[in-house]
Amino acid sequence: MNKSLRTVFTGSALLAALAATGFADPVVSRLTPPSLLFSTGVNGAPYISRFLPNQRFDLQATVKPDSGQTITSAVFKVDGVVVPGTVTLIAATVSGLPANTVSPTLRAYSNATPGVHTLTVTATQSDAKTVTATGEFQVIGITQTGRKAKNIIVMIGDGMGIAHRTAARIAYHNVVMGKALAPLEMDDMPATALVKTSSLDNLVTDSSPGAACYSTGNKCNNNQEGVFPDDTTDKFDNPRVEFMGEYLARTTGKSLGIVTTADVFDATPAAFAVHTQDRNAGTGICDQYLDEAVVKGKLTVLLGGGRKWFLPATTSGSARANSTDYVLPAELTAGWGNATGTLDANRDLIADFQTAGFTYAPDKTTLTAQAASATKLLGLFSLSNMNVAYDKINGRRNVIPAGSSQTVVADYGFPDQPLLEEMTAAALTVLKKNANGFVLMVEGASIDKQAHAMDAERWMLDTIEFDKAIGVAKQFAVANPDTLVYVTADHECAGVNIIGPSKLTNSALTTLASTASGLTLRNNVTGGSGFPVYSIDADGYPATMDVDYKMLIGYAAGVDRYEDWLSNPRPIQDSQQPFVGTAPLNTYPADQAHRDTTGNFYITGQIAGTNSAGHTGSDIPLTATGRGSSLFKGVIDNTDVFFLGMQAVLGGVAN
Amino acid sequence: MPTSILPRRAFSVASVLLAALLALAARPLSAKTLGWNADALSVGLAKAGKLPPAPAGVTDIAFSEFYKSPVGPQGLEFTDKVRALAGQRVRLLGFMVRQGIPAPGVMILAPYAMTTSEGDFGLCDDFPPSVVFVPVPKYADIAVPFRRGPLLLTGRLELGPHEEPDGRISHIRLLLDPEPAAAPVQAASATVVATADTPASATR
Repeated sequence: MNKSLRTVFTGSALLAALAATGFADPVVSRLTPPSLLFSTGVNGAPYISRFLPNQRFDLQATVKPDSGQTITSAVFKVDGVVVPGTVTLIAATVSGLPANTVSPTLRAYSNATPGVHTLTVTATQSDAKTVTATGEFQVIGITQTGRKAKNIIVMIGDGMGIAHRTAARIAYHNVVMGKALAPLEMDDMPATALVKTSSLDNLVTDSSPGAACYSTGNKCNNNQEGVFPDDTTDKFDNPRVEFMGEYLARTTGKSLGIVTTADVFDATPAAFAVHTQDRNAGTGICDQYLDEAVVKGKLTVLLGGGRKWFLPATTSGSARANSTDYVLPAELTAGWGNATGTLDANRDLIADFQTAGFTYAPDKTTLTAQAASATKLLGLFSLSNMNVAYDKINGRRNVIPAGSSQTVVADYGFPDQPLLEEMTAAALTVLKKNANGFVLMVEGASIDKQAHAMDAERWMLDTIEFDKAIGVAKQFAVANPDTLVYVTADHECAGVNIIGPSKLTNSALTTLASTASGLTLRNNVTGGSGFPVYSIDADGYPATMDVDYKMLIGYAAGVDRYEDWLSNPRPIQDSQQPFVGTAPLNTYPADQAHRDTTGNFYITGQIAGTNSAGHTGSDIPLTATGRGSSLFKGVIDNTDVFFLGMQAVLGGVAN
Repeated sequence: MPTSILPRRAFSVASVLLAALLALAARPLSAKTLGWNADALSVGLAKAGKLPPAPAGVTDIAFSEFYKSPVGPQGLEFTDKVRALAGQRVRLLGFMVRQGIPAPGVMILAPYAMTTSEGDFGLCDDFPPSVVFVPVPKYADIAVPFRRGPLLLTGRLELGPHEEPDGRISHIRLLLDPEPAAAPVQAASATVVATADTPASATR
């Protein structure tokens, strides 16, 4: 970002001369919340930082003193009026800043008046010189128009771009003579919009700001959630923006539910409840689910993987460590009224959740048995990410990979994992008990993870699983009409597209894949015509993804890989380890052997790296139904989605 | 949900198992027949007489023997066998995980040939619980160079939580035997293994 230099010269030639020798005014290098006005000097739309009336957020600046000086005080003004409250001069600890750089901070500010507001900071140096910097933010008003949405269900298909949806539709409902035989649940919704996804600091976002835009109405830097960037190394002290869940719990008494197939500390679920600049700080993130989100934000349902963060460090499988734990500074807890936290790797977080009234479900059987009677629900179904839909379904069908003695989920030790639609149904059963309503976020997490792995069958199955969960949400909205449901994504992943039907039957492809080398496979498979035929098994999922003339997927943001277009028996399979036949049965690993040059079709990736395709920057589709869904239309920013949803919940729509 | 107009195919568990067994019987040992399961590969190699015998004082162990399965409602529990082997020398066949951002001086051995992408996911992972961390002192300050294919490693078994340089917590570590001074045993075994998998055609 361009930095804007604003100094106030108090005036004489002597001072100007002394400036050259280091007797200069201090400099403001950052003003938060961020604005184009501060960073570029340009006034007007688009307003980077926007808030609901009374949505709380922190004011902060970073001030660099002249050498040999310190900053002694700072004052914030909004619209020319001094903001009441404590301003703390936090030491700026990132490297590269001049000595004694500080970040004056005022916690938990809010503004009730719709419109654009000017924000200034004036800092005073120890030699009495001052500096003033100017930025702005906007408060988006709520119009009282009609019937409000009592419940809001945010369905996030992580990495789910337009082609992921199309591919899932083809695999699940088939296209025959040019027409899809039926729509997906996510297709069959009355409102449609396109959403722009860039983050505060990158054209191509990641899942942290990609979810926080929906939960706060504001942009974040990549890797950060629910906070603006700052100049300290501390992971949890950043200037915060109040989450939708926190805000609605505080103002309307609604409950919050978070459901994901990923590890629950992962970016998308955490971005609805925990404020941090480090999406990787798993111990602190999971602790704060209880210490802050439950205690103050009415977090009532938390379902997903990630049990490893909830086990004491001495228990096998635990990932808890002080290095990823949290302790909040006193000035932050004084401003927000939340828990300080402590470094406690040996904490038994499952037991603490149970003490707080949560029913704990370690598997699907317990989840479905307990949901009806639970008032609060914690489900942790795997150590880290849950197994993906493809492997969960094969587990239920008892499909055992060749050479193994048990299914993939049994191999992992978690044979009874729920499907996302079962988790969504259980969450709704519990959340519905709150007469004030609720916010529920449901994430189909491994659409993205398997697109990163360029495993087409697994991300397609995960998209189909996500679509069934959407079906559960839609049924709830029909039975409870004051419910808004919208289906969106944080970003597209891997530059996926459908490059045609295969020219080959499955058996011909399997034969060719085991004997072909170089470009033979590509040249004989791509460029087909007609339509594949997928069929659905009695359990409601595709019988197999390896059909004749199957859908072929290309990746615009892929990395180097081998492609044979056949389903991998195991997830995250290393496609660059075909069996080369020269593996030494050595007692000590030696240096890397030559790259394998035989085998299947080798595709050079578009981006650097060896293991993982990348996110892309294209717009993603959003579809919506239920109370207030007519607000979602056109081509909008991802932060707009937050404000449209809040208009539906707080002000209603006419129709 | 709309009914598909296309015929539904009944899915028989018995036919799937039979097909898998037939496939295994018909084809030679390879990644595609074994789905890259190191435990199964080890058993297959031993049955074919292609696994060198374990040195004296070394016990063979498989990934499936580390933890009780299925996992209970809380954390993992070591099996009696692995508990008894703590501090003893063991031998394990596994695959080196191809990491996006490996930690210096330590590699991860897994029952399957897997990748990770720390840049995208950090500490969020898809590991089976039984992964083993293997410090490699020769590469103490740098990433252990990636080695493809199954690795047969011998060393002392160490159990208990330990924080690795990348913030991961390992619960099982293999402290490798010192590198052998003489040429390793590999030549005959590798040739035999290659023959089992390489078809007669010379174009591969």
